[in-house]
Amino acid sequence: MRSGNGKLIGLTLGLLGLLAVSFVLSVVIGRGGVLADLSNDADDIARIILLEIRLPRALLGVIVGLVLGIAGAALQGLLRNPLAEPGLIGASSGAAFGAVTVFYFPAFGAVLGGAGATLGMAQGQAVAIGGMLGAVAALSLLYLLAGRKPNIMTLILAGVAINAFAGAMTSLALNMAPSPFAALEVVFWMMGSLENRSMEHVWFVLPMAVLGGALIASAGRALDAMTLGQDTARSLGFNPVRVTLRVIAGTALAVGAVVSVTGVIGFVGLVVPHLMRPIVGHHPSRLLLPSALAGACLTLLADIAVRIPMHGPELKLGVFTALIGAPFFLYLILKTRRLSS
Amino acid sequence: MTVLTLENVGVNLGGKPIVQNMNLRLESGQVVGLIGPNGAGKSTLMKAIAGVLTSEGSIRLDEKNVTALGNKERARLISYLAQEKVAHWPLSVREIAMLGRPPHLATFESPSEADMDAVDQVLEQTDMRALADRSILELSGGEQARAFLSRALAVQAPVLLADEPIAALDPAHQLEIMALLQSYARSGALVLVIMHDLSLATRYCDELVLLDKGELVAHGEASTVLSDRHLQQVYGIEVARGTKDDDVFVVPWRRLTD
Repeated sequence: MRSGNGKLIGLTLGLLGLLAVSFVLSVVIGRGGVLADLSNDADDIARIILLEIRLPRALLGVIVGLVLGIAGAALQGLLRNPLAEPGLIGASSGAAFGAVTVFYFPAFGAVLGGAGATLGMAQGQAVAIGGMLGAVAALSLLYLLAGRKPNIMTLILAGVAINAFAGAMTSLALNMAPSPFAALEVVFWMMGSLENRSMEHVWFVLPMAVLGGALIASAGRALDAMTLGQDTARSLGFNPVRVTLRVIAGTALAVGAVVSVTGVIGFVGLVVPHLMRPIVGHHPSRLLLPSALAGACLTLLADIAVRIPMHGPELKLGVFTALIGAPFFLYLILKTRRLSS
Repeated sequence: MTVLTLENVGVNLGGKPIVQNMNLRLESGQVVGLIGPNGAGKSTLMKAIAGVLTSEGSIRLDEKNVTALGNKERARLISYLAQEKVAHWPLSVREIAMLGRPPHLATFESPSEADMDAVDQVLEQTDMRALADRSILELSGGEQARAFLSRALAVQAPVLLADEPIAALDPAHQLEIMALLQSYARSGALVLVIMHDLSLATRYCDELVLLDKGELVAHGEASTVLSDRHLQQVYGIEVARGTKDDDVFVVPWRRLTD
């Protein structure tokens, strides 16, 4: 543990350094020679590209990665399952369905947009508000299905049921789309991207990401104790039921907010804790911070990678993370097979 | 001296009474063996004392009402080694022992040097220093039992409750763990231990508490509690008795049929 603490601090500092570098690269790299133009003080277009397009994109990338990383690590710890990921409890698919509803029913979007405006939100946030409502609905349904004292099995089953239902409703919306263009718009949004997001989106996500992240982080030590079983955790002064509800609510809030703005960006929450375990060990609480930071680095680097081809349509971030995530899944299968033999 | 007092303690599970009218007074400095047949309510009673299950009646530690204490304060006073000894992640022995320290830490507080020293000291006592950085999953059954006991000892609580700490251990490890519990008790703690081995109970426990069907049958020294009448009534067995180095031992001999 003594040497482990040094390792944790070293890793955290290393990841913070990588995050800073990734952030700068994310702001600098893109189509158009902004940096060269920026040296000319009078160039307003370069300034706009930098401050209103790339900066929000990079900030959102950091928040998305932090949220997916910490939520993935917490859920794997809570469910004692290395294959758990933030989408498992249904918040992502709920948020996606909520957002799709706004695309599909413009009148509903106008109502949400109006409601958002009266709350002081900027115009154009209707999709995000719809997504958040979807995430909250999914969370409420999860509580209803899993009962007052949820256990691991009922939580996973309830999550599977919600994912299936939200997925079916989303497919129904696509099926009934008034025009192929409307369907295409929804499909592209669902692929997950940080493209063309503004500071308004950052402000929308930030409070819920902070609150959700804090709820998850506060459960860290209890997750460690729950590693030794519910009775031991209870005898150590933790309430496993409350801890479970706290992690689930924190995940739904933070991941729901993120998905509402970016669409579904898969695999980050699954992969990152696995990358961190060989370095910091299996302690659930010790994985939270490194997983959050590594999630942010991975998301930013992936978002830089999708911008590198300078011609043709930009690759969607969610597509890219799935492309690198799926082989990682294969690696997990092979590793598990090797261990079990 | 610390005194654990139970007055009219009862525990209901699923509307069914599992433990009833339990009255006990247990003093520190002693190993108290909690014995009785399967289903007698031993684990349930222990969980109630540990605060894992809710109970009726009064459980007091000196003048403190244990059931009314905050979770953390209760956890600092009463350490509990569960019957289910599992680790769902391959933690190291030291990490498992360190899980005894959260009752002494605030939510985001890191373990201090004093916490680490306490864990090192416990690992020394349980002879686990050399295996401290090994994963629990790589250890033998006896080593795992010592690792989990290290976690319970690391709480440094004045009361230690251990549910079958020597189950599934070979005789050498059974003797080793019982000696360890005895030495913890001699350092001023109250150790309440659930066990099925009547010989070891007689040898290492200063007092025995015999339960049957959720009720107290007898409480006192082994010679009184393990009388032929009690053993016939509760277990339905006849025992053989002998002495070794002036210590009495009891061996289950045959099952009595009606």
